[in-house]
This record gives sequence, C-alpha cells and structure tokens, in this order.
Amino acid sequence: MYATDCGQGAGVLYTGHEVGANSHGRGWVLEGENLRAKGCAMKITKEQLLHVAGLARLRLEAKDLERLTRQLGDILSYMDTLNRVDTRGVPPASHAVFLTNAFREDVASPAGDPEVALSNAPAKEDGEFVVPRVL
Amino acid sequence: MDLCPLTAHEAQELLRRGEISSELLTRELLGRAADLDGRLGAYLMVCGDEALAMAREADAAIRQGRSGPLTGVPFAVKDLICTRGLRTTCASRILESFVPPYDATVITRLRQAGAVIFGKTNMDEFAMGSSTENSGFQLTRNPWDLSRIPGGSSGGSAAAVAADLCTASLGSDTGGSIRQPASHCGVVGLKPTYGRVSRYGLVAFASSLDQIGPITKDVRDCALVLGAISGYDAADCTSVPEKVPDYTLALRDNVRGMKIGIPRQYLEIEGLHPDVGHVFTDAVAVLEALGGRCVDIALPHTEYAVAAYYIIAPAEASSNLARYDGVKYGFRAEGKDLREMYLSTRSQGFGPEVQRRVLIGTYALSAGYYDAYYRKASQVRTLIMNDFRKAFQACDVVISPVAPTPAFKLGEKIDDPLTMYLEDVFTLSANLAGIPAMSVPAGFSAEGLPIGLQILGSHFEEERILTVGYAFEQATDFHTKRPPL
Repeated sequence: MYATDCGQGAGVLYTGHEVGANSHGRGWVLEGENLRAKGCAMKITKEQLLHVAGLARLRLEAKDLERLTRQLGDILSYMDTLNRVDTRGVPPASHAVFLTNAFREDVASPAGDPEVALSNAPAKEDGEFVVPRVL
Repeated sequence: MDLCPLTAHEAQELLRRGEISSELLTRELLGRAADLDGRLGAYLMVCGDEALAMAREADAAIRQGRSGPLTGVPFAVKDLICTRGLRTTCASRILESFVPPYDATVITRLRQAGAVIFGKTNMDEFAMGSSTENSGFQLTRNPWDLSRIPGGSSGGSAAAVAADLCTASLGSDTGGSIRQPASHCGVVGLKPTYGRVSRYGLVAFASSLDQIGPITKDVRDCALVLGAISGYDAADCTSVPEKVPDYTLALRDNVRGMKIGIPRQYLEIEGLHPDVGHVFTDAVAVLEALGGRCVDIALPHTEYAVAAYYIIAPAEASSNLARYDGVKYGFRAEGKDLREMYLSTRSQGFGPEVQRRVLIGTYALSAGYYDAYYRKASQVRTLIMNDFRKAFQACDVVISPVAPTPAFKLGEKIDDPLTMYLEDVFTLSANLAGIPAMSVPAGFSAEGLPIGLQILGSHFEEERILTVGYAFEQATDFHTKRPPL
C-alpha cells in the first residue's frame, strides 16, 4: 500500500472536518477545493503521469502537464477515502448481476461482408486496412 | 391541435383512431426542432428524410392493423447507440465521420415496433460527464433555463424530451447519465437492471455499469419503452434471460402495502441544496398519503461510492477506449510509424475529460497499483451491493434525491473535475450494485428549476419502481409542466 500520511494525521481529508469511524456519511462536502488535503505530497509525479500516458498511447503537451498532474493528483488523493474501509475477506465484485456459463453452441456462422467491415476505414487496399509501418 | 407535446401513449391513441398520422406528427416535430434546436443544441443530427420514410411505413402498418404501442412514435436516440447508416459519433471527434454498418439491438427492436428514428442527440463525449459540456461538438442548454446545463451525459435526449422536440427518447446510464439529466430537465428517466436491456450496439464506456434506458414525458411512456427494448439478446453475453413482463400492468394509483426505504446517509451530506431537501420531504409526504409506509434504512458505504466508481469506471473505460486507434474506423492523424499514429490520433481525437479518465483508469490498472486501486474499489463495490441487499430485506423500494443541487450554470464546474464527479453521489450506487432506478419529476427549485425523485428497486424489480413512480406522478402535476420556450 502507498503512504497516505500528509502530516495531518489519518482521516483528515476534508478541510475542517475530521471523518472517522463514527461519522458515516457526515461531514463530507461537495466542493473539490475542500477535498484537497493541503500540503499533501504529490499523489502522482510528472514522470509517473508520462509513463501512464505512454501506456494509454496519449501524447501530453508540456503546457498541460502541470495542470493534469495536479488534477489527477487531486482525484487520486480523493480515492484514499477507500483506505478507511475494512475490506479484509471481502471478495472483489466481478459481476454486476451474477450470470454463469453464458455460452453459445460452438457453431460457425457467416462472417459478414468484408466490404462492410472496411466501410469506415481511413485507409484501405485490396480488402485490407492500411496502416503506417510498424517498425 | 399541437402534436409536439403529446406523449407516446397519447399519440398512439390518436394514430390508432386515424385522427393523426405519424407523418404529420413527425413533420410537426421537425418544424419545432428547426425553430428551437438552434438555441437548445439537443440534436447532433436530425434524420429528416429517414424519419419521414419510417413515419410513412408506420402509417401503412397502422392502416393495415399491424401496429403496437410504439408504432409511428418519433424517438430521439443518444448518439452512442449505433444506428445503421446514420452517423454515430458519441459526441467525439474521434468518431466524427463514423457510420455504423449495423443497428444496436435496441434500435432493431424499436424498428420492429414501428417506431421512428427521429435524430441522434448530444451527450458528454463517450458518456463521460454530468453536464453534456464535455461534448466534442456543441453545448446543450437546459430548456428550463438556457444559461444552465441540461445534466449529463444524456443531456441531449433529456432536453429533447423536455422541449417536446421528440415524443420519446433513449439514453444510457453508467453513473447516473439517464436519471440526472431527466431530473434536471423535469422528465422521467429509468436505468434498468444491469442485463435487462441488451448492450449490443451501445458504444461501451464501462462494461459492468452501462445500461440503455428510456427518457420520456411520463411514467406510462417509460413502461412502454422499457417493455419494447428489454429482453435477452444472444449478441450480448451479459444480457439476462429474465422474462419481460408487461410493465404497464404495474401502473396503479396507490402504493398501499409498500414499504419505502429512506437512506439516512443520503440526507446528511453537506452541500445538499435546501430546495432539493424540501422537494424530497414533500415527496415522502405524498407517498405516505398514497398508502406507503416509510422506513429508515442504512446504506453505510454511501460515502465511498464516488471513489469506488471513479476508479472502476475509468479503469473499464481505459480498456474499452483502447480500440480507438485510427486503424479500422474513425479519425486518423498521420504518423511516421504506427505508434506515432496512435499517439497523434488519440491525443487529437479525444477531448480532455476522456483523456483524464483514460489516464486515471490506466494508472489504476497498471502494475504496482492494481491492488491498491482497482481491486480495493471492487471490494468496496461488493460492500455497496451488500448494503442494498440488506436494505431490500426491509423495504420494497428505496427513494432519494437524484442530484445534490438543481441544474448549475454552464461553465460553473467544468474546470474542477472532482467537484463535477461529486454531482453523481446519489446515482452511482445503483450502477455499482446493478439495480434499477428511475427519476420522476418531483418539484421545482425557488428559481423554477426541475428537481427529481429517485426510486430504486432490487434486481429485476422495475415493476415496483414503476408502481411507485406512476402513483406519485398521478398524485402530482409536475409531469404536466412545460418549460417556457
């Protein structure tokens, strides 16, 4: 687990409010400003953000990097509220509504017209999608 | 007689009796859209010729006695539902010229029912947003106050219904995107149980949370549309083979014998607008007068729903949006090699909120962070599901406000993503738990802005929420009000 200590003690996430085990649902405010733990260490560094952007195949502009790092940091800090929940022994929810064995018969069906599949292609040739060189 | 304000069931009555034609109804709506939508921005595309052709086919079917409750009824369709041959953009530049070669199953079912596809509506890009301000193309304004948001992400559909620019509509809901705009626009919106309605042809945002549902002028229409689009679909392996009842049989004028759960956590949040509180309190009184018995229930993990959702949904979205790479469809930016093409295409094609969520989702799923974020959020999701399971042992439906405030001003929250996310606090839990939930008009703020009542039920108990919604609607007159356009 990562550190959530911001020098203000566990549980103080909202300005002016201490949220603890006795105050379910109380004290949470809807202003983003109040949710930023003041003086907290950056939740995500610029380097981490650039790494994640690479994974997501997104190119981030230098001029946006500062703002995006801060915004994402705020959002990820807010996620720290989940650390207050005791989830020992709780299975992760893998289904919204539990279905089992949603199978079909293993029977081939017509694949469809290749022209239809190519109908929105930005570039195509001889029934294939054309892309820039891979290497 | 002005045909535009007709509900689907009212229109159907007149169509069946031959007093009006679908072509006439469609023409009048086209005229009204031409007059008003320049100001409102509800539609990305109005399908004039196609709609009239479908209307004429519907008229023929009605003349031959081959009609059903939705034959000849013009529908606005949120632009992330694929319509064959009709441009479908998800309000994103990355799909600006995409023309689906197939219909979503819900569209196939509407066509089979003889409905008219009238137009595609504006939305937050890829359904990511609560105000429709994240559209890549245009703003949609709240018909009740043009300086305010219509809600999101199905803002275009809700505005079109509220402004009588269609007879009924379809939206989609991942964290509240049907219910919240329905509430802000003073119309009815229902998110079905997960798996009730096929997601085939719904452009995926978060696959374990998304559902298509009706946005309509009244609860009867909602029941009719729900019945038409629901049901098992072999093309969607998450659709559930649960029988589709006649939802209109659930509509009655009282709630005698029903236990109505009130979650105390929901009413204790700071920042709940006083008018929202008053409308809710008044609604409780109405339901008690209709024979409902209100019981206190607890949903103790409410305060964690926003954090859990804003890990799970972006994580699933980051996976679902990986397909937009400029290869097979959509926008492509040039690049010296494949990787450059991906980077340029996605960076130019996706708007800022989409990029933000893809980044959050990728981070939450990446090696070293998966357990801390995604797995943890999924465990909290189980606890939220358990909260509802326990609550529904003590009551038949749960009621709550829909949004913490009435519609805010355009531009007010767009620069603060976190504040925007907190708008969804009342609606997200239903998606996390997979349960059905509906918003019905329940009153107005001091400034005349609509405020809705949310009704939640257990899995596949849409009938119970329709019963409560219909009884409440018929005992009040909010659903008869129209914005001053």
